[in-house]
Amino acid sequence: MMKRNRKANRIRSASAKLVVAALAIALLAGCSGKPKSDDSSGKPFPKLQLLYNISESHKLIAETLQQMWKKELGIQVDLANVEWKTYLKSLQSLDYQIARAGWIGDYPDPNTFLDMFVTDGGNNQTGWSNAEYDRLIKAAAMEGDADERMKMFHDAEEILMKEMPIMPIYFYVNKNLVKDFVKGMHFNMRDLHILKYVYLEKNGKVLPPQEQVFHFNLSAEPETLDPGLMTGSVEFTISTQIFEGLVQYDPDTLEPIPGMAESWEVNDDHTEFVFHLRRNAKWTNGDPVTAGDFVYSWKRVLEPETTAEYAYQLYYIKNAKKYYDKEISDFSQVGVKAVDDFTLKVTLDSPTHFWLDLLAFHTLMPVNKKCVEKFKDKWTRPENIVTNGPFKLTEWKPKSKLVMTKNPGYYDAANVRLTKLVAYSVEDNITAISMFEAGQSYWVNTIPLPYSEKYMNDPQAKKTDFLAVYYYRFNTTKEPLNDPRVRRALNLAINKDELVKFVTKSGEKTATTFVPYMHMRGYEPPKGEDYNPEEARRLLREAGYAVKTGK
Amino acid sequence: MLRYVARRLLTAIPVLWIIVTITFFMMRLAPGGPFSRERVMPIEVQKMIEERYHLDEPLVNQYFRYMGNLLRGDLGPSFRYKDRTVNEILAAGLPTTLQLGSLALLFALAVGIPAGCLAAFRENSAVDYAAMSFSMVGVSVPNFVVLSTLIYFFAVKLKILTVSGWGRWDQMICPVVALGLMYSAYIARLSRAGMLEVIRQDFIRTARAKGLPERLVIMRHSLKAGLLPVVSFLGPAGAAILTGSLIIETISGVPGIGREFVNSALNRDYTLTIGTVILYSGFLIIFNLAVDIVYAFLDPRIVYE
Repeated sequence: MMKRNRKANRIRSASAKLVVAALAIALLAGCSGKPKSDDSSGKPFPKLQLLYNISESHKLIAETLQQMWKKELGIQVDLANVEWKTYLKSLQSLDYQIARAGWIGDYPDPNTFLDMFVTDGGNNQTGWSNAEYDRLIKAAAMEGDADERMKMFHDAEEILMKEMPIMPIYFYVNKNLVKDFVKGMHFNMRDLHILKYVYLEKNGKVLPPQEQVFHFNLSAEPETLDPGLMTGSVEFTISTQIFEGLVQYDPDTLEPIPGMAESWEVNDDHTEFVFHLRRNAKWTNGDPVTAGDFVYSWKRVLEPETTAEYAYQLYYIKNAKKYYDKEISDFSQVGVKAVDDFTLKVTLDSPTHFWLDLLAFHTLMPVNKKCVEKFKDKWTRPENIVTNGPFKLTEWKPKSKLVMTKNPGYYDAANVRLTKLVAYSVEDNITAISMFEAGQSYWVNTIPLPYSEKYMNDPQAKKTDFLAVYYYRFNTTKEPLNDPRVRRALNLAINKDELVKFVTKSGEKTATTFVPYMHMRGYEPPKGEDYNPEEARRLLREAGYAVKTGK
Repeated sequence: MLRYVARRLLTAIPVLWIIVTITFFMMRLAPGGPFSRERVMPIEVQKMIEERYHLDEPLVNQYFRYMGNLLRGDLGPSFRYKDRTVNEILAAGLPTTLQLGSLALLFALAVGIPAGCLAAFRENSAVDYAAMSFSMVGVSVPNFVVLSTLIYFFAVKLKILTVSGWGRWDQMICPVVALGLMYSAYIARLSRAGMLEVIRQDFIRTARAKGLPERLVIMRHSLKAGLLPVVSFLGPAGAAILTGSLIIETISGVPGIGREFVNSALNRDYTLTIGTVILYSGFLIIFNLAVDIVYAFLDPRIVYE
């Protein structure tokens, strides 16, 4: 069994009080004099097991759910925690009953959330399959009309919520801590920080250039600095400062704005893009950034030997997957062409509405051919690396820090005010907060649970809705969770408002549906089901189980 | 003596081989792999990555490939840190871990031996009780608690030390003290016990009866014999300090290999895990040998053949 934690007990007693109060009110209001708890017709509900990966907050949430299910439905749930890789393995081999999960969108479009649940999708991991759902997701991918497309996603999500192979809990909130003298930090739905907009100001005065040094914590050692090979957000935080793609993100809205490309044209059905590169963009070795650099970089990612894990981000390009699979060997058949040094033409397989959003992603950032070919595996070392972003890498002490200095050759250098970035790779988040409190770093990208009350109303704490959802997966292949009524009952028995208020405590929005709709252009989510224990019990009975509650 | 050392070193080779082999296969038994992620990659991408790192070959082939490279001193590429090899990672982290370990051991000796001796020579005095209660605390409080407390008071509140990092004295004090404190407590207790036993012996009484000043009695006669238990503790202590620095390194952001010892296993970074295991096994073997040799110098009754 789990070790009980004082905080959890406090929450439990708080929620117990609330439930008791609610019950009392219900009784006073003259509902049935006797709680509907003695219904013992039907088979007993088997004990369930809930799996989560080791973390204090996952544990608290799991314990809360365990209590709620026991209280409302009389269901016993055991908690099992395992380390990360074991957890991933259990999910992939469907060796679990209920498991916590989280999903961060790659771009603000329902597709990045919904396409994972198609039959046999690698990220499905629930065993769930629905032909109509598959059809809708596939049709949406081919649809040129934006409204029609969103309608299809709406219908698909409606099916998902009715069948409930997954149970959304809440939409994540980003919690950043930033010193008050740091100006120009933007907080957006992907927790993406573009530091070229940042500057330091004390007593109403912008500090002189030599004092514009920004210290912050990265929270881990980057796995690689090769944008083509990157997979994580830590790496992305670095690549965003030292590289720049065809487009870059608007720091607030994350709409694509001109980057290496000054302007572009799109055909009507979003399959053909022509980019006009700016003439004053330079690599740190002095060479101009050309259309050929993008062709080279994307070809490199699509070469299987490069082993880019995110190569599939380029599959939208015509024939790109065929090239990866070696069905074609001539790269000129792939839909990327340098018309001249400053014009790049991209042809896609099918209409892709979020293609521009993807262009600022690390996988599609350009790398310098001369540098990569000359230094091979060692090209990302500070002494070798050639980049094209607002900052350049000058020092990389593994597991300690990365130092980046302003790139004077950057086309917009006049508007970059920070002269130096020092990124620490401290993993322990308590140490990271201590560094912040001691004034050694000016920005931390997470507030650990023990500190959440301390910084609840602190002006240094910045909270923004994240393009991500916290949810639970059900293994739909095994009894009793193969019955959608049981899955829906489990969902209805959870008081998510209470969970967010007393457990996570960071102003998260509860989720009755899966897609973080507030970030989606033109997307209308289906109506989700709210907390309704009465209906939950009814569904369980309908599924043939005896419901015993009210202990 | 030389033959003894040579023999010990030779027997270390099969020991290391067994350790490497067991680690190699145990790592592969652990669920998940270096490239299992929350976001599952398409099959074809996964296949290419497995091919590149030879994970698609039969396990026995992988084992022989690894052993072959190992004999040439090549520990392979890191599966997680793609820009670096295991050799590079260990070479970069090892000096830091050794520095942290030896400073902590020095601190433990510098505090522990005087405290223990003082307690022994002033047995049952206030000094004795103070030193022993302090050492009781030192033994019982876990090092990460000590470290967090030190950081909180000296770095966050008083701002005279630095929270994390390595290289400057103000960054090194907290981790060194936190890592060494427990051992200083052990050493204090051991040296007290050792000294108490020695000063009751006949040869000390003889020395005193000869009229030797107390200072010489302690320095020349008691210390050498009285500290034998401390010396024999140094081997395991040295090894434990070096291998036990992982929490300290993580909390203090020290770029050593202690962090790698645990993280690489959690990340299923197979090559890096075996690399750290080899290094740590080497430490243990060398420390144990060193203790046996020092023992022979200190105690004339011990002879190795």
